Amino acid sequence: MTAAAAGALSAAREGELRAHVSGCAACGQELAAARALVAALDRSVTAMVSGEPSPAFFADLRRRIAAEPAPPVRLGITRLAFAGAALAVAAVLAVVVAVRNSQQHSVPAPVAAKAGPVVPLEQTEMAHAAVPASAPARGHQTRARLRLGAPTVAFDFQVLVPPGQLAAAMALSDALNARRIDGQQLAALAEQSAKPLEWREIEITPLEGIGRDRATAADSPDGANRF
Amino acid sequence: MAGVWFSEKQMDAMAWSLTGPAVSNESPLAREFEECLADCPKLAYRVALGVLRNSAEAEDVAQEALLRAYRSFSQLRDRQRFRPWLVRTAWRLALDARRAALRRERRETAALDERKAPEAEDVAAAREFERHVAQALDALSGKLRLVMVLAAIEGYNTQEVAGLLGIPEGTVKTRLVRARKQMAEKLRCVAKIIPGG
Repeated sequence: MTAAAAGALSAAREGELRAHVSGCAACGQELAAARALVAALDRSVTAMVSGEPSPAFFADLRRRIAAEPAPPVRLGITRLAFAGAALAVAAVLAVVVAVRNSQQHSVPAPVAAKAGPVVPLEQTEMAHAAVPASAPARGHQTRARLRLGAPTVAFDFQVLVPPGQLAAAMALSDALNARRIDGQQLAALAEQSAKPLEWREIEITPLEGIGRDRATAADSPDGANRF
Repeated sequence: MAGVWFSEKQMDAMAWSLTGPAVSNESPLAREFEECLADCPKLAYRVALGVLRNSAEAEDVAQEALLRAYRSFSQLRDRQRFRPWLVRTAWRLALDARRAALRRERRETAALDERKAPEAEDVAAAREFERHVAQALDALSGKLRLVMVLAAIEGYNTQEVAGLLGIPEGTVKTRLVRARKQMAEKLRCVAKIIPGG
């Protein structure tokens, strides 16, 4: 009866029960009681969650949210095609490798910084279908997740890097976290997430530990580290 | 007479927006969060109320859930998932708060029992039935319990509950039936004290 009242019977069983109840007063009463019970428990649960929050609830919520710092920005680039953006990413990674090498080993950077053109994301999305034959297959791309955290700004983004470049991407992550790269300038880029995204060159300040004399021309074409 | 009918959810959203922007900064993300809020504060409150059955505690939990949602808003890729995400956060926080409250209650039960004032018979019976319903609800599995609470919130039919939980509507209906059946079986022994019955 309880199952019937809760609607748990199949249509066939429900029909059988209905037929029986029509000729059995005792079962009819039992079914009616079960239905009343289910209805009462439904009413009770509904009453349980029908309360209204106090007016102070909304005011407090607004006050507490207003007191929070702005939510950190997340810049998602999950479908970055190699067709255009790989140039810019490669330039970024090359500079980071160069920065790291010049800082840690004082040897010329293995790859000269070669800034790619400004590539709006929309263009790269459209160009996705026309990946050059020289570009690695999409299945061989490595997804690297980089995160920058700082007291005033935090964001992360994803890039697809060519095979073998994951270490360089991690180096970029290290550089961000160690603040060898100006995070504020990166954050400024991320803040523009509502607009079409662009990869663009950003001037970065070398670490104090990297003397001007060590920031050789190999770091970048004009002697300054670029990102 | 002609008129415009607004659902409770629409009214909540309007009431919330009329009290001004929650976020003071002008970042696009903050504005987007404000747009997502709409009727969510009340939804979070009612989800918490379904677990805690205490208005003040439910308000605290709902506020905490909304603040967490604000802090983590940038991690939410699909904004359509904001409400389900908020519901689950409020639900989990409410369960945590409920566990803490139960521990507290157990310590205080003896003292409270001694101070209970006598009530009118019908009021006492209604309270007794509510207490049994609450116990039966708490005895459900998490999945059944969440569906039961969400479906009881005014304005949320099985289709909307399915959307909130990201499950098929048929699954919601099945869980509702199972929840009602399990609860009714537990309540059979107290059927004689059904309020108004």
